[in-house]
Amino acid sequence: MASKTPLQHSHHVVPTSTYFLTLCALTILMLATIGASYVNFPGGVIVNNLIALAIAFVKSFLVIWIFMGIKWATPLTRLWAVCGFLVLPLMFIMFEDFFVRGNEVVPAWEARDSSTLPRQLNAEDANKQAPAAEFGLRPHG
Amino acid sequence: MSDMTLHHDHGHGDEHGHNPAQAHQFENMEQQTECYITGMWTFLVTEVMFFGALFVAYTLYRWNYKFDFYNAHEHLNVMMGGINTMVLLVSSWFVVMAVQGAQLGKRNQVLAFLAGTQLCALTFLTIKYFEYSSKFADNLYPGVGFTTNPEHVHHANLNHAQIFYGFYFGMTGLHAVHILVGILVIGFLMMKWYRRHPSVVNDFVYTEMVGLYWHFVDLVWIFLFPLFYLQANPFPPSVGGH
Repeated sequence: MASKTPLQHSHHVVPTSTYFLTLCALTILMLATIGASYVNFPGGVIVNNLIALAIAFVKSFLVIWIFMGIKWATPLTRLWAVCGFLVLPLMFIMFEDFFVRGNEVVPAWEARDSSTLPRQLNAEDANKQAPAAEFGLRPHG
Repeated sequence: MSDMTLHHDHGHGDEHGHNPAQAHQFENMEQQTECYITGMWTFLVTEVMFFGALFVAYTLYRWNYKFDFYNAHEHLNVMMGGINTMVLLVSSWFVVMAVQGAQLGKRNQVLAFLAGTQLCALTFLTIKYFEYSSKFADNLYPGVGFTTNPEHVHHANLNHAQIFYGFYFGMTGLHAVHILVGILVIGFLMMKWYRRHPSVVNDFVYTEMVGLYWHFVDLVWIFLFPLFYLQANPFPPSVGGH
Protein backbone atom coordinates (compact mmCIF):
# COMPACT_ATOMS: atom_id res chain seq x y z
CA MET A 1 0.00 0.00 0.00
CA ALA A 2 2.75 2.42 0.95
CA SER A 3 4.61 2.03 -2.31
CA LYS A 4 1.67 3.12 -4.44
CA THR A 5 1.00 6.45 -2.77
CA PRO A 6 3.66 8.59 -4.51
CA LEU A 7 2.70 7.15 -7.87
CA GLN A 8 -1.02 7.57 -7.33
CA HIS A 9 -0.34 11.24 -6.68
CA SER A 10 1.67 11.76 -9.84
CA HIS A 11 -1.52 13.08 -11.44
CA HIS A 12 -3.16 16.39 -10.60
CA VAL A 13 -6.07 15.74 -8.25
CA VAL A 14 -8.85 18.26 -8.87
CA PRO A 15 -10.72 19.47 -5.75
CA THR A 16 -14.36 18.48 -5.34
CA SER A 17 -15.46 22.13 -5.28
CA THR A 18 -14.18 22.67 -8.84
CA TYR A 19 -16.18 19.71 -10.08
CA PHE A 20 -19.31 20.77 -8.22
CA LEU A 21 -19.15 24.36 -9.52
CA THR A 22 -18.77 23.00 -13.04
CA LEU A 23 -21.89 20.88 -12.54
CA CYS A 24 -23.78 23.96 -11.30
CA ALA A 25 -22.63 25.97 -14.34
CA LEU A 26 -23.73 23.16 -16.67
CA THR A 27 -27.15 23.02 -14.99
CA ILE A 28 -27.65 26.78 -15.34
CA LEU A 29 -26.61 26.63 -18.99
CA MET A 30 -29.05 23.77 -19.62
CA LEU A 31 -31.93 25.80 -18.17
CA ALA A 32 -30.75 28.81 -20.20
CA THR A 33 -30.83 26.86 -23.46
CA ILE A 34 -34.38 25.62 -22.77
CA GLY A 35 -35.54 29.15 -21.94
CA ALA A 36 -33.81 30.70 -24.96
CA SER A 37 -35.60 28.34 -27.36
CA TYR A 38 -38.98 29.89 -26.44
CA VAL A 39 -37.86 33.52 -26.89
CA ASN A 40 -38.46 35.39 -30.14
CA PHE A 41 -35.16 37.13 -30.73
CA PRO A 42 -34.88 40.01 -33.21
CA GLY A 43 -33.23 38.57 -36.28
CA GLY A 44 -35.41 35.48 -36.41
CA VAL A 45 -34.96 31.80 -35.78
CA ILE A 46 -31.34 31.81 -36.95
CA VAL A 47 -30.49 33.79 -33.80
CA ASN A 48 -32.23 31.13 -31.69
CA ASN A 49 -30.20 28.43 -33.41
CA LEU A 50 -26.93 30.30 -32.98
CA ILE A 51 -27.65 30.93 -29.28
CA ALA A 52 -28.56 27.27 -28.72
CA LEU A 53 -25.34 26.18 -30.44
CA ALA A 54 -23.25 28.76 -28.56
CA ILE A 55 -24.60 27.47 -25.23
CA ALA A 56 -23.95 23.88 -26.33
CA PHE A 57 -20.36 24.80 -27.21
CA VAL A 58 -19.81 26.47 -23.82
CA LYS A 59 -21.25 23.39 -22.10
CA SER A 60 -19.08 21.04 -24.12
CA PHE A 61 -16.04 23.22 -23.40
CA LEU A 62 -16.71 22.93 -19.65
CA VAL A 63 -17.06 19.16 -19.93
CA ILE A 64 -13.89 18.79 -22.02
CA TRP A 65 -11.81 21.34 -20.07
CA ILE A 66 -12.77 20.41 -16.49
CA PHE A 67 -14.49 17.00 -16.45
CA MET A 68 -12.25 15.40 -19.06
CA GLY A 69 -9.28 17.13 -17.45
CA ILE A 70 -7.79 18.74 -20.55
CA LYS A 71 -6.93 21.80 -18.41
CA TRP A 72 -4.44 19.68 -16.47
CA ALA A 73 -3.47 17.32 -19.29
CA THR A 74 -0.06 17.00 -20.89
CA PRO A 75 0.56 19.08 -24.04
CA LEU A 76 0.35 15.98 -26.24
CA THR A 77 -3.07 14.95 -24.89
CA ARG A 78 -4.28 18.54 -25.15
CA LEU A 79 -3.18 18.79 -28.78
CA TRP A 80 -4.93 15.51 -29.56
CA ALA A 81 -8.18 16.62 -27.96
CA VAL A 82 -8.21 20.07 -29.57
CA CYS A 83 -7.45 18.67 -33.02
CA GLY A 84 -10.15 16.05 -32.56
CA PHE A 85 -12.83 18.60 -31.95
CA LEU A 86 -11.53 20.86 -34.73
CA VAL A 87 -12.40 18.10 -37.19
CA LEU A 88 -16.10 18.64 -36.49
CA PRO A 89 -16.40 22.25 -37.76
CA LEU A 90 -14.22 21.32 -40.73
CA MET A 91 -16.82 18.77 -41.80
CA PHE A 92 -19.32 21.59 -42.23
CA ILE A 93 -17.29 23.04 -45.11
CA MET A 94 -19.39 20.89 -47.44
CA PHE A 95 -22.28 23.27 -46.80
CA GLU A 96 -20.77 25.84 -49.14
CA ASP A 97 -21.98 23.53 -51.89
CA PHE A 98 -25.47 22.81 -50.57
CA PHE A 99 -26.30 26.36 -49.57
CA VAL A 100 -25.95 27.77 -53.09
CA ARG A 101 -28.58 25.37 -54.45
CA GLY A 102 -32.21 26.36 -54.41
CA ASN A 103 -33.72 22.94 -54.96
CA GLU A 104 -34.01 20.07 -52.55
CA VAL A 105 -31.23 17.58 -52.26
CA VAL A 106 -33.11 14.32 -52.68
CA PRO A 107 -36.51 13.59 -54.20
CA ALA A 108 -39.24 12.03 -52.11
CA TRP A 109 -39.74 8.28 -52.15
CA GLU A 110 -42.84 8.30 -54.30
CA ALA A 111 -42.75 7.88 -58.06
CA ARG A 112 -41.57 10.96 -59.89
CA ASP A 113 -45.04 12.00 -61.05
CA SER A 114 -46.53 12.07 -57.60
CA SER A 115 -43.56 13.84 -56.10
CA THR A 116 -44.12 17.42 -55.11
CA LEU A 117 -40.48 18.24 -55.61
CA PRO A 118 -39.03 20.73 -55.93
CA ARG A 119 -41.04 22.63 -53.39
CA GLN A 120 -40.64 26.20 -52.31
CA LEU A 121 -38.63 26.25 -49.14
CA ASN A 122 -40.58 28.88 -47.31
CA ALA A 123 -43.53 28.75 -44.97
CA GLU A 124 -46.28 30.27 -47.14
CA ASP A 125 -45.70 28.02 -50.15
CA ALA A 126 -44.54 24.94 -48.28
CA ASN A 127 -46.89 22.64 -50.17
CA LYS A 128 -46.70 24.25 -53.61
CA GLN A 129 -44.33 23.44 -56.39
CA ALA A 130 -41.48 25.77 -57.11
CA PRO A 131 -41.89 27.99 -60.19
CA ALA A 132 -39.14 26.09 -61.93
CA ALA A 133 -41.18 22.86 -61.75
CA GLU A 134 -43.46 23.91 -64.62
CA PHE A 135 -40.40 24.08 -66.87
CA GLY A 136 -39.58 20.52 -65.98
CA LEU A 137 -36.73 21.44 -63.68
CA ARG A 138 -36.77 18.56 -61.27
CA PRO A 139 -33.81 17.18 -59.36
CA HIS A 140 -34.09 13.92 -61.25
CA GLY A 141 -36.08 15.41 -64.15
CA MET B 1 22.98 8.44 -23.02
CA SER B 2 23.58 8.98 -19.34
CA ASP B 3 20.29 10.88 -19.28
CA MET B 4 18.39 7.88 -20.56
CA THR B 5 20.03 5.62 -18.03
CA LEU B 6 18.97 7.99 -15.31
CA HIS B 7 15.34 7.91 -16.44
CA HIS B 8 15.52 4.19 -16.82
CA ASP B 9 16.70 3.77 -13.27
CA HIS B 10 14.01 6.09 -12.04
CA GLY B 11 11.35 4.09 -13.80
CA HIS B 12 12.40 0.62 -12.92
CA GLY B 13 14.35 0.86 -9.72
CA ASP B 14 12.18 -0.86 -7.16
CA GLU B 15 13.79 1.09 -4.37
CA HIS B 16 12.13 4.25 -5.78
CA GLY B 17 8.63 2.84 -5.37
CA HIS B 18 8.11 0.94 -8.58
CA ASN B 19 4.43 0.65 -9.41
CA PRO B 20 3.51 -2.93 -10.30
CA ALA B 21 1.02 -1.50 -12.81
CA GLN B 22 3.83 -0.09 -14.93
CA ALA B 23 4.48 -1.99 -18.14
CA HIS B 24 8.10 -2.67 -18.96
CA GLN B 25 8.14 -0.65 -22.20
CA PHE B 26 7.42 2.63 -20.42
CA GLU B 27 10.05 4.82 -18.76
CA ASN B 28 7.80 5.77 -15.87
CA MET B 29 4.15 5.96 -14.81
CA GLU B 30 3.72 9.50 -16.17
CA GLN B 31 4.71 8.34 -19.65
CA GLN B 32 2.46 5.30 -19.40
CA THR B 33 -0.51 7.39 -18.25
CA GLU B 34 0.00 9.93 -21.04
CA CYS B 35 0.18 7.10 -23.54
CA TYR B 36 -3.03 5.50 -22.28
CA ILE B 37 -4.93 8.78 -22.15
CA THR B 38 -3.76 9.78 -25.62
CA GLY B 39 -4.86 6.40 -26.91
CA MET B 40 -8.29 6.90 -25.36
CA TRP B 41 -8.55 10.34 -26.96
CA THR B 42 -7.66 8.81 -30.32
CA PHE B 43 -10.69 6.56 -29.95
CA LEU B 44 -12.83 9.53 -28.91
CA VAL B 45 -11.69 11.48 -31.98
CA THR B 46 -12.99 8.66 -34.19
CA GLU B 47 -16.26 8.91 -32.27
CA VAL B 48 -16.37 12.66 -32.94
CA MET B 49 -16.08 11.93 -36.66
CA PHE B 50 -18.66 9.14 -36.38
CA PHE B 51 -21.29 11.31 -34.74
CA GLY B 52 -20.03 14.40 -36.60
CA ALA B 53 -21.10 12.99 -39.96
CA LEU B 54 -24.60 12.43 -38.57
CA PHE B 55 -24.71 15.97 -37.20
CA VAL B 56 -23.69 17.33 -40.61
CA ALA B 57 -26.45 15.32 -42.30
CA TYR B 58 -29.00 16.43 -39.72
CA THR B 59 -28.01 20.10 -40.14
CA LEU B 60 -28.37 19.84 -43.89
CA TYR B 61 -31.87 18.34 -43.79
CA ARG B 62 -33.00 20.63 -41.00
CA TRP B 63 -31.82 23.59 -43.11
CA ASN B 64 -33.81 22.34 -46.09
CA TYR B 65 -36.97 21.23 -44.25
CA LYS B 66 -36.94 23.57 -41.26
CA PHE B 67 -40.72 24.01 -41.26
CA ASP B 68 -41.46 20.29 -41.48
CA PHE B 69 -38.78 19.46 -38.91
CA TYR B 70 -40.23 22.08 -36.58
CA ASN B 71 -43.74 20.65 -36.89
CA ALA B 72 -42.56 17.07 -36.50
CA HIS B 73 -40.42 17.91 -33.46
CA GLU B 74 -43.50 19.11 -31.54
CA HIS B 75 -44.19 15.45 -30.77
CA LEU B 76 -40.98 15.29 -28.73
CA ASN B 77 -41.26 15.83 -24.99
CA VAL B 78 -39.00 18.68 -23.85
CA MET B 79 -39.58 17.78 -20.20
CA MET B 80 -38.34 14.22 -20.69
CA GLY B 81 -35.40 15.42 -22.80
CA GLY B 82 -34.51 18.05 -20.20
CA ILE B 83 -34.63 15.55 -17.34
CA ASN B 84 -32.42 13.22 -19.36
CA THR B 85 -29.93 16.05 -19.97
CA MET B 86 -29.80 16.72 -16.24
CA VAL B 87 -29.42 12.99 -15.49
CA LEU B 88 -26.43 12.78 -17.82
CA LEU B 89 -24.82 15.94 -16.43
CA VAL B 90 -25.13 14.58 -12.88
CA SER B 91 -23.77 11.21 -14.05
CA SER B 92 -20.74 13.01 -15.51
CA TRP B 93 -20.17 14.61 -12.13
CA PHE B 94 -20.44 11.19 -10.46
CA VAL B 95 -17.78 9.90 -12.85
CA VAL B 96 -15.29 12.69 -12.12
CA MET B 97 -15.81 12.07 -8.41
CA ALA B 98 -15.15 8.37 -8.99
CA VAL B 99 -11.95 9.22 -10.91
CA GLN B 100 -10.90 11.53 -8.08
CA GLY B 101 -11.47 8.62 -5.67
CA ALA B 102 -9.32 6.39 -7.87
CA GLN B 103 -6.52 8.98 -7.88
CA LEU B 104 -6.63 9.16 -4.07
CA GLY B 105 -6.97 5.39 -3.72
CA LYS B 106 -10.37 5.67 -2.00
CA ARG B 107 -12.15 2.47 -3.00
CA ASN B 108 -15.47 3.28 -1.33
CA GLN B 109 -15.69 6.65 -3.07
CA VAL B 110 -15.04 5.01 -6.44
CA LEU B 111 -17.66 2.32 -5.92
CA ALA B 112 -20.32 4.70 -4.57
CA PHE B 113 -19.98 7.22 -7.39
CA LEU B 114 -19.77 4.56 -10.10
CA ALA B 115 -22.95 3.05 -8.68
CA GLY B 116 -24.52 6.51 -8.92
CA THR B 117 -23.44 6.69 -12.55
CA GLN B 118 -25.03 3.32 -13.26
CA LEU B 119 -28.24 4.51 -11.62
CA CYS B 120 -28.23 7.63 -13.82
CA ALA B 121 -27.59 5.54 -16.93
CA LEU B 122 -30.52 3.25 -16.12
CA THR B 123 -32.74 6.26 -15.39
CA PHE B 124 -31.77 7.71 -18.76
CA LEU B 125 -32.66 4.51 -20.59
CA THR B 126 -35.95 4.16 -18.69
CA ILE B 127 -37.02 7.68 -19.69
CA LYS B 128 -35.87 6.91 -23.24
CA TYR B 129 -38.08 3.80 -23.20
CA PHE B 130 -41.16 5.88 -22.38
CA GLU B 131 -40.20 8.44 -25.04
CA TYR B 132 -39.76 5.80 -27.71
CA SER B 133 -42.99 4.06 -26.67
CA SER B 134 -45.05 7.16 -27.35
CA LYS B 135 -43.44 7.46 -30.82
CA PHE B 136 -44.08 3.79 -31.63
CA ALA B 137 -47.68 4.18 -30.47
CA ASP B 138 -48.19 6.81 -33.19
CA ASN B 139 -46.30 4.78 -35.83
CA LEU B 140 -43.53 7.35 -36.06
CA TYR B 141 -40.78 4.79 -36.65
CA PRO B 142 -39.50 5.31 -40.22
CA GLY B 143 -40.36 2.60 -42.70
CA VAL B 144 -43.34 1.14 -44.53
CA GLY B 145 -45.51 1.39 -41.42
CA PHE B 146 -44.89 5.11 -40.98
CA THR B 147 -48.00 7.01 -39.99
CA THR B 148 -50.25 8.56 -42.64
CA ASN B 149 -52.11 10.61 -40.07
CA PRO B 150 -51.06 14.28 -40.41
CA GLU B 151 -52.00 14.88 -36.77
CA HIS B 152 -49.17 12.60 -35.62
CA VAL B 153 -46.53 14.71 -37.32
CA HIS B 154 -48.29 17.99 -36.55
CA HIS B 155 -49.11 18.60 -40.23
CA ALA B 156 -45.56 18.34 -41.48
CA ASN B 157 -44.94 16.82 -44.91
CA LEU B 158 -45.05 13.08 -44.16
CA ASN B 159 -41.87 12.25 -46.10
CA HIS B 160 -39.91 14.99 -44.40
CA ALA B 161 -41.32 14.04 -41.00
CA GLN B 162 -40.09 10.53 -41.75
CA ILE B 163 -36.62 11.91 -42.46
CA PHE B 164 -36.78 13.77 -39.16
CA TYR B 165 -37.71 10.63 -37.27
CA GLY B 166 -35.02 8.72 -39.13
CA PHE B 167 -32.48 11.13 -37.68
CA TYR B 168 -34.21 11.10 -34.31
CA PHE B 169 -34.17 7.33 -33.91
CA GLY B 170 -30.79 6.96 -35.61
CA MET B 171 -28.91 9.50 -33.55
CA THR B 172 -30.61 9.09 -30.17
CA GLY B 173 -30.59 5.31 -30.72
CA LEU B 174 -26.87 5.31 -31.45
CA HIS B 175 -26.39 7.44 -28.36
CA ALA B 176 -28.47 4.97 -26.33
CA VAL B 177 -26.24 2.13 -27.59
CA HIS B 178 -23.27 4.10 -26.26
CA ILE B 179 -25.06 4.37 -22.90
CA LEU B 180 -25.56 0.59 -22.92
CA VAL B 181 -21.88 0.03 -23.67
CA GLY B 182 -21.06 2.48 -20.86
CA ILE B 183 -23.21 0.49 -18.42
CA LEU B 184 -21.30 -2.67 -19.35
CA VAL B 185 -17.87 -1.07 -19.11
CA ILE B 186 -18.63 0.72 -15.83
CA GLY B 187 -20.10 -2.50 -14.45
CA PHE B 188 -16.89 -4.32 -15.38
CA LEU B 189 -14.83 -1.55 -13.76
CA MET B 190 -16.94 -1.71 -10.59
CA MET B 191 -16.42 -5.45 -10.40
CA LYS B 192 -12.65 -4.92 -10.63
CA TRP B 193 -12.78 -2.30 -7.88
CA TYR B 194 -15.03 -4.46 -5.73
CA ARG B 195 -12.56 -7.32 -5.95
CA ARG B 196 -9.63 -4.94 -5.32
CA HIS B 197 -8.09 -6.05 -8.57
CA PRO B 198 -4.50 -4.70 -8.75
CA SER B 199 -4.96 -3.35 -12.29
CA VAL B 200 -7.46 -0.71 -11.15
CA VAL B 201 -6.28 -0.25 -7.56
CA ASN B 202 -2.64 0.41 -8.47
CA ASP B 203 -3.36 2.63 -11.47
CA PHE B 204 -6.20 5.14 -11.71
CA VAL B 205 -5.84 5.42 -15.48
CA TYR B 206 -8.39 2.67 -16.23
CA THR B 207 -11.02 4.47 -14.19
CA GLU B 208 -10.05 7.71 -15.92
CA MET B 209 -10.36 6.15 -19.39
CA VAL B 210 -13.85 4.84 -18.64
CA GLY B 211 -14.63 8.32 -17.32
CA LEU B 212 -13.47 9.93 -20.57
CA TYR B 213 -15.78 7.63 -22.52
CA TRP B 214 -18.72 8.52 -20.30
CA HIS B 215 -18.06 12.26 -20.66
CA PHE B 216 -18.06 11.83 -24.42
CA VAL B 217 -21.50 10.20 -24.23
CA ASP B 218 -22.61 13.22 -22.20
CA LEU B 219 -21.08 15.58 -24.79
CA VAL B 220 -23.06 14.01 -27.62
CA TRP B 221 -26.29 14.48 -25.70
CA ILE B 222 -25.39 18.13 -24.99
CA PHE B 223 -25.70 18.69 -28.74
CA LEU B 224 -28.55 16.24 -29.42
CA PHE B 225 -30.85 17.85 -26.89
CA PRO B 226 -31.02 21.41 -28.32
CA LEU B 227 -30.87 20.19 -31.93
CA PHE B 228 -33.83 17.81 -31.64
CA TYR B 229 -35.95 18.96 -28.71
CA LEU B 230 -35.43 22.72 -28.62
CA GLN B 231 -36.20 23.90 -32.13
CA ALA B 232 -37.34 27.51 -32.19
CA ASN B 233 -40.41 28.37 -34.29
CA PRO B 234 -39.17 29.21 -37.81
CA PHE B 235 -42.58 30.34 -39.13
CA PRO B 236 -43.03 34.07 -39.74
CA PRO B 237 -45.66 35.64 -37.42
CA SER B 238 -48.15 35.92 -40.31
CA VAL B 239 -48.14 32.15 -40.81
CA GLY B 240 -47.56 30.79 -37.33
CA GLY B 241 -46.84 27.22 -36.37
CA HIS B 242 -49.33 24.37 -36.39
